[in-house]
Amino acid sequence: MNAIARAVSKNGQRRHASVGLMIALIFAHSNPAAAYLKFGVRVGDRTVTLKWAQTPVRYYVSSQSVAGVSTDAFRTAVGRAFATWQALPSASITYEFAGFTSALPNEDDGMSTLGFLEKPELDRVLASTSFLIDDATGALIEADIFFNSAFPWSVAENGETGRFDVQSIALHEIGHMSGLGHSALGETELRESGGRRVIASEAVMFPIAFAAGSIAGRTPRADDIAGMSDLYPDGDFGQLGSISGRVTKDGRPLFGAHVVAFDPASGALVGNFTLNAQGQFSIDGLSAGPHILRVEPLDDADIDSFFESTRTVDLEFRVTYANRLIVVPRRGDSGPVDIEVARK
Amino acid sequence: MTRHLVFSFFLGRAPRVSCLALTLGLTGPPAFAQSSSAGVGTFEISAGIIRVGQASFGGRDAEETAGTGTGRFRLFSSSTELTAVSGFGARFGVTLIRSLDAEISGTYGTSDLRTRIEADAETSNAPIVVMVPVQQFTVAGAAVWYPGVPRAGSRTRFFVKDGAGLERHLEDRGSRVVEGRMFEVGGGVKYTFASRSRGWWRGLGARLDALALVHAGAVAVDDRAHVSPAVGASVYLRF
Repeated sequence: MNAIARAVSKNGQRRHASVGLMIALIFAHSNPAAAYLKFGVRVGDRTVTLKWAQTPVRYYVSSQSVAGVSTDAFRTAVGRAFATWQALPSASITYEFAGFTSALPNEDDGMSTLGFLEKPELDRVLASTSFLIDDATGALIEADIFFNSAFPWSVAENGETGRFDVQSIALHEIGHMSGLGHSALGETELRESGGRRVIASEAVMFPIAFAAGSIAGRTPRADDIAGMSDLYPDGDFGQLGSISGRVTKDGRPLFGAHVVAFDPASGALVGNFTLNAQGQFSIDGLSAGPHILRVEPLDDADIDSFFESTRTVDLEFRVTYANRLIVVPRRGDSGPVDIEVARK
Repeated sequence: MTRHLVFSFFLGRAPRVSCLALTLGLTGPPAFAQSSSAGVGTFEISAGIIRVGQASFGGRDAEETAGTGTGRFRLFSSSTELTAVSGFGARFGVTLIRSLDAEISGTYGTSDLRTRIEADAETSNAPIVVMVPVQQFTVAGAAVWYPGVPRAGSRTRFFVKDGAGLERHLEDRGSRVVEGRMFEVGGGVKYTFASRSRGWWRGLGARLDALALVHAGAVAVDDRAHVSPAVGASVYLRF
């Protein structure tokens, strides 16, 4: 089977005209001080960050089972994934299981539903998240997650060879459901038969799954924790700091460059992108102390896993490091860091 | 963060040292009017330069989880050190008994936190070095013991020193302030240029210190203690 990509929610845009709700547009978006690629919704002239206004987020589980995964076992596995996000000490989001339902994911019924759908035509999509949004306010009303039953699934505690781990994939999709976009903290290589093979990844929110049988995706990494905490800050998240700056090539701002901060004290890797016409970036949720800053082109996944297909992302530059150690102050920003990258 | 002066090390050793010093004092010659030894209750101030050797904090790889789901993939390697500190310092000491001084000291110095980056998985670039300036302040308390009995008329006097204190580092001109503990052990020699038994000052001389500094915390990017050699040269005035 080819490399399998987990689709981003923007592929699942839905309209619900009968109640006057419509998705205006969902796209990769980040505020000036942000820890992650997030979803944004345009409401008039404004961009509203897609997130739940109220918690706990209530979710239903569709009462459809597939071979090897009973409804109860599925509910237990996704429940563990919800609990994992909820347990982050620096994030406040909470979830609540509302019950089983005969409804299916992707139905506009006001219920956030997780379940299996048979989608053999999506031969590289393991699972997907879609949203229902009030286009007048940008408020998130519903988020559904479907798991593609065209693939073999497992809920075994230690994983199962040749089967994808429900809990790992659910953790990724629940990240989307909560408002997180994709992380680019991963390395891949192209397969001759098409698609990509993951060489390594350090974020649950990387768009391409680990190999079947792996359960490594059950644990959020520093990058994921920073992202969720940025959306729903709690605890000591406010004590953390940030790095901001600008990336240029030939003196001109660069859009879509992947900027990664590495903390040599903890080993944590947290990334973000240059996200505007000025080539500016901001990485929040960093521990105070010196960091190494590395800039790389977005060449380890399809660009439309991160940005609107209309955006032009320059991949023709070399990996570049900031020319100094960047000190992150406690509860503050490093001050502007300018990085000039070189052509390949 | 609250700053605490660490005296536990000093207090833990003081009684034994004092007892030994007292014994020496009682059995030694009665007076050294022209020697470099100091009378009980006299004070000494000194100022000079210091140099502290580098401290290596070791390496840390930027790692990702390998695609198989087990094992690690190295994105790049890094190793970090605090370069040698150059600066100056001042001390104030008081003679408790003839063979034992208590002193407090403060130093200021500058260095760099320097990280070497290499073995990037996606480039074949040569290793690069990135750094950030660090300012270092220390304050410490120490016991200075003069072993043996000085000869009458001798201008030199050897000492051993044992102390503890705090070090404060300001990274990148104060973007972040961190503190750590510091212990020092070593010794040195004092050479008296001039001394007198009357007047407002009693002695003038030079002093050389050679110490081993044990640091923990502050700018260190690991949890280990690090030992750095340190030397100092100063002039002193005794009252």
